[in-house]
Amino acid sequence: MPTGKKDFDAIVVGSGPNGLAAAIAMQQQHLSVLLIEGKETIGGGLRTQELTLPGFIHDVCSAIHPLALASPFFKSLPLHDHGLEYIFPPIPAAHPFEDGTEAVLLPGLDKTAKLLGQDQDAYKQLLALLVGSWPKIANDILAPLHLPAHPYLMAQFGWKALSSATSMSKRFITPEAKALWAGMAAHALQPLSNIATSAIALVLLITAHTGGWPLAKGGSQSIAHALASYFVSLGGKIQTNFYVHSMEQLPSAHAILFDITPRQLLQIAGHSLSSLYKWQLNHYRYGMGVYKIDWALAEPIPFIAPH
Amino acid sequence: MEEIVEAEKSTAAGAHPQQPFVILAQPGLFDPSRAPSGKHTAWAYCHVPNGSTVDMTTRIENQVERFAPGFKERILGRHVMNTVDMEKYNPNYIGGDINGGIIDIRQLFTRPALRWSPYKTSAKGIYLCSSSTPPGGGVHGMCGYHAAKRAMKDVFGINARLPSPK
Ligand SMILES: Cc1cc2nc3c(=O)[nH]c(=O)nc-3n(C[C@H](O)[C@H](O)[C@H](O)COP(=O)(O)OP(=O)(O)OC[C@H]3O[C@@H](n4cnc5c(N)ncnc54)[C@H](O)[C@@H]3O)c2cc1C
Repeated sequence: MPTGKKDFDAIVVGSGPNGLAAAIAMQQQHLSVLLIEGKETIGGGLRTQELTLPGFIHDVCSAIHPLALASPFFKSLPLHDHGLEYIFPPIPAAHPFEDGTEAVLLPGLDKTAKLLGQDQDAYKQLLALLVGSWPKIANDILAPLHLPAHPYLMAQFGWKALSSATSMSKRFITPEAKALWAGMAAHALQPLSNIATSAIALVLLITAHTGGWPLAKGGSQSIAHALASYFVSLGGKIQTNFYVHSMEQLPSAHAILFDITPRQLLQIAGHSLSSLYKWQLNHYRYGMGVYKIDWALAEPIPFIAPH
Repeated sequence: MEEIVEAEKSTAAGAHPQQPFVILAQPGLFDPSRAPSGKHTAWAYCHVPNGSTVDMTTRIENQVERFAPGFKERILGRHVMNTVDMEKYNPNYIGGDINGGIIDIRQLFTRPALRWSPYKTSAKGIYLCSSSTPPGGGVHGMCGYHAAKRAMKDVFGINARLPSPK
């Protein structure tokens, strides 16, 4: 334990899922933690709001939660007791074609494979081993680079994950399988010929075939609320409406964790960082952006394809 | 597949495709609490170049209409966010990038910089715990968990381990 009186053992700036997780992990060890959020409400990418018309609530950012469900840390928390309920749509994803046909991702690996006709075996070959061993390798995949607990299985994931999505798709012949694969890989927010786009696609497909792709009942905000409620029940403190511009604004603490990106860290704490580290952060690269629409609808969307 | 690859390639190169790859969902189909009885909600997004302010509404709605004729007549209200709105809404979405930085071979494991621990900054007691650190974007909290683990070990001499699932 460090010596010297401070206001808190640790401060976390930013209440997205990562800020909440960091705050909980430290409060669980009986450290005193203050979680600070610049906006009026907590949650970061987990907020749900009436964006369009009264009575219509929309997830402003994240909406589908295979990763929250698969997260080894979130899994270890009593979030259900703090109000979180997941809803599992029967069909995780579908990709329509103009002629009214579609490629469908079902919860079952075999069932999905069967719909892919000629690519049935290729699809199973790509995923069967990884789906079967997901509980063992999830901890290693959702972690920084380190020595994995299951090196053989990790190598299986690794060589598949590190190829580009375009080269991986050469395994498939049918437009359905190709579309399903490319649709998943597009979540990586970069050209599909880039290396490692496959990692995202693999994780999304594996999670679809293991836990599922749930929504949070009442919107993604329910995840933030459950995390915050658990954090507070452990004795953690939360302060919203506190936008941090510089280190001087913060109460004193032994450790400060920032749930922000490198460019913001440079603005807030630049003067305390070494010039090499600053140089590294300055060269950190950001990717494509998104353009998002939320709709209030009188009726469901009338897709020609059945799903 | 070709359409998706083309759309993503040209977007990364700074263009706005006429037929963008659209990711769409209708949460109201499975969670009735999202809209007044009988009504529905849906969202869709497409990728655009970092910092773009081009209005993609018509292009996205045309794409949906292509696969679901009659869609546009059912719209009661809409709310749009371009990359500038995204960043204003959440300062972490720099230029509208929702993953906290590119995830490619170089940045997949070295986020945000090549160091012994990606969470530790060069300043004592200051850590990064956002999706700009491994394992990257998405709602899983594992960046935060691993950063906290690192900080607790360095600063407080605590070796935290994952508790068994509840
Ligand atoms: C449109 C969209 C759709 C998405 N869909 C999904 C999905 O379906 N599934 C999925 O898993 N992920 C999805 N994501 C990604 C996911 O939301 C993010 O990866 C995740 O929220 C990152 O969590 P984080 O804790 O690192 O940061 P954030 O959630 O971004 O939280 C950062 C917090 O820090 C606060 N903050 C920043 N700077 C300061 C400051 N100086 N002072 C005080 N507070 C500050 C911000 O206000 C914010 O609350 C989506 C994102 C977007 C935008």
